[in-house]
Amino acid sequence: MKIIRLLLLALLMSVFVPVTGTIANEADQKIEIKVAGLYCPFCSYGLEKQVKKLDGFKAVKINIKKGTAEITFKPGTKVSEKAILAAVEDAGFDLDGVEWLSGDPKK
Amino acid sequence: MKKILCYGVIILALVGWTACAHKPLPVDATGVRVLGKFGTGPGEFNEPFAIAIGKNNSIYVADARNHRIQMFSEAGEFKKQWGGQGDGPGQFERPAGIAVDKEGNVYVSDFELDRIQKFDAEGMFLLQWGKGGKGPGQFNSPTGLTINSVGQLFVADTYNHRIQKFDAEGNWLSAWGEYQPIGVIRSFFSFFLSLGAEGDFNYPVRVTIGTKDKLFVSDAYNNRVQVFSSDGNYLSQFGSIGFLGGSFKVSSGIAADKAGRIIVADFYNHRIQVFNEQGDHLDQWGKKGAQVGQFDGPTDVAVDTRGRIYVVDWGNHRLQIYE
Repeated sequence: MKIIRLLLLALLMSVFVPVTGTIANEADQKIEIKVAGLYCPFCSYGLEKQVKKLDGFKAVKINIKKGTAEITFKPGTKVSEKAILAAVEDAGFDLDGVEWLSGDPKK
Repeated sequence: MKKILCYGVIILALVGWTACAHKPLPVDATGVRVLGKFGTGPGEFNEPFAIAIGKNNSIYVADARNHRIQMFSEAGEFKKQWGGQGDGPGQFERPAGIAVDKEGNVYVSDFELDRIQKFDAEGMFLLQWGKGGKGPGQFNSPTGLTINSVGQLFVADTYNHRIQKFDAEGNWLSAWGEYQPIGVIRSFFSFFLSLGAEGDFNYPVRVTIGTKDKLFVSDAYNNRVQVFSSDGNYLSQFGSIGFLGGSFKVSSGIAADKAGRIIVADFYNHRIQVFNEQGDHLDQWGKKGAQVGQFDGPTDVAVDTRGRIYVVDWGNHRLQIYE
């Protein structure tokens, strides 16, 4: 009886563990960048244009009132902070900070 | 007596029905008309960004985040739309500037695709030109467009910090300007310090043609307007950084009326300012807000043949029209 229970438990785990594992892997990676001088749509559209070129780019939400951009990357993307810095500079701005909102590979 | 009353009621009903059938835009007590609200349907906007007036005072709006151009009658009735997201002919990623020539053809700049597309007055695709780059005829985020009396098209090549001039078929004619920011202190004390940097720019965003085919350029991050001949010769400038009348916090849209007055949208001061061609400040209105007569970041202006001023109220996703 004990063996049957263990087998059932193992079966259940084999079903759920990969699923939960998949969910964890498929979580989007999100960062928020603080950009100096991001005041108007002429700027925010410029930043958006450059950020869209980043590897694994999925979406961006720019808040010109706060001077921030929340960038979402596809799961599994090796997000390069160096590439983000280059994109911000190509858009004509200075990067004031990067904060991981989710999917920080260092954690 | 009853008959007269009956006829009276019928006439009143007919008059009422006729008035409703024309569906005039709502007019508030100050005479301001509002067109549009946030959305994706016909007559709605998601970040309207640029405007131009065509034949019969038809209104063309670059509806930036809906990736389309919308056309309205003079009365503000929705007529048609075209575009859709993409990089194919007739599609847009970020329509950012719009101009209409004497024949009614519509030119649209695409900020993300670095190209200009030309359509007929009904939105039929005619031709396109441009790609990303710094060379002649190439762009880095083109925005404002305007056309002079001989059909030459001027493009504010914003991220290349220059103006480019083309003929009606997209053939390159000339270009001028380089990146030259004016410091805040110099700009603030411009009443006794020369601004300098004549003919250069710090994100030129909108352009318009005044009398004698003079080109007025809204030099956004230098907080000024520069004036050129159609050949690109520098003539004069006005404006500086600030909040007092005549100064700007990011000059954006610009238009000229028949009388030669220059109307400038002042993005971060959330207002519209009026100047004569010499740059003397004449009038201003608006403040930050969502009420009628208030703005949330005006990005473009236009004037029709009746002298009505159209303001693209970007953050409020609407147009405001002033008699």
